[in-house]
Amino acid sequence: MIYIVIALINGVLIAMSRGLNGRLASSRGAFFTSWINHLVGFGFLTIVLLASQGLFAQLGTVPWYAFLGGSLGALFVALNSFVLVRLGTTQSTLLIITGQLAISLLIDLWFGKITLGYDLISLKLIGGCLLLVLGFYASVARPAQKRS
Amino acid sequence: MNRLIVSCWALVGGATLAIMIGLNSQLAALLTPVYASWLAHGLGAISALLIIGLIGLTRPVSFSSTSAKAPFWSYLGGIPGAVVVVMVAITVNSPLGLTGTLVLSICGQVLFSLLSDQWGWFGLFKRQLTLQRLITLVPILTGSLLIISAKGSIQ
Repeated sequence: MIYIVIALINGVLIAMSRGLNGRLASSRGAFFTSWINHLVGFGFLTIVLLASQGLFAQLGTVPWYAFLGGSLGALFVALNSFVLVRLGTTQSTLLIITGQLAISLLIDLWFGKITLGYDLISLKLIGGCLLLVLGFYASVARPAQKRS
Repeated sequence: MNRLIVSCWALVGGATLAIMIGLNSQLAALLTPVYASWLAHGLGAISALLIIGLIGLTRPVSFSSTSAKAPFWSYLGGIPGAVVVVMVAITVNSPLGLTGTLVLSICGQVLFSLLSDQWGWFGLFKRQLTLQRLITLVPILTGSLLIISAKGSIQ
């Protein structure tokens, strides 16, 4: 039960982080925001690490590409901040979730983790994708309002 | 700017996020979640600085405010982001697993987003929930939950 609350709070914190970054970006720009976001997070996690396991670890076994996550994170925060200021928090959250699920499905299909057939799982996956496309269409096709 | 173009950038952002999570969880499996995130934040900070430098070569980056001055709290977005890393490590290893963690996190994100749009939190524009916004929200939310539950039943 406590885990359910923690997992919900995770979502709240993610949205809060995006909102704060969006506000900073509207004054200082998306890439500056991305830099500050990572710098502040790095500082915070340094404190957490110093209080727990320390700052040293064996990096020899890590494949080189696993280190690229940080660079993608820098791009993501910049993209999020750029989009959020223009679309609002809810719309950008929904569209980011859509892109996230779409690419993760494609990756799973590509690596053969998922195979489509005539079963309930495939039906759910295809149905889910159609709903995502519908939602994206509805989001874009919305007639222009005062602030678009 | 064109709404379609901005929306496509949001999709690209989501795709970037998914690949980032995949790479970072590989790192976390070899190290620890907090250590992996610490490295990712450090490398992310360097990357962002490099990008700013590269843009600066072609056109000078203005570090001065363009609209209103950013309040001090808007610099703190990195903290909730980093806390999430620690807490996700807890919930993924709980009975909720990855599927439950994802579903609840999406619910929390959407709920909080709706509230902050409704009241204009973080000094951003108010965007009240209308029927038209609901037409976007309902299919994307149900579609996401369907896909996550289907993927969860495979693993």
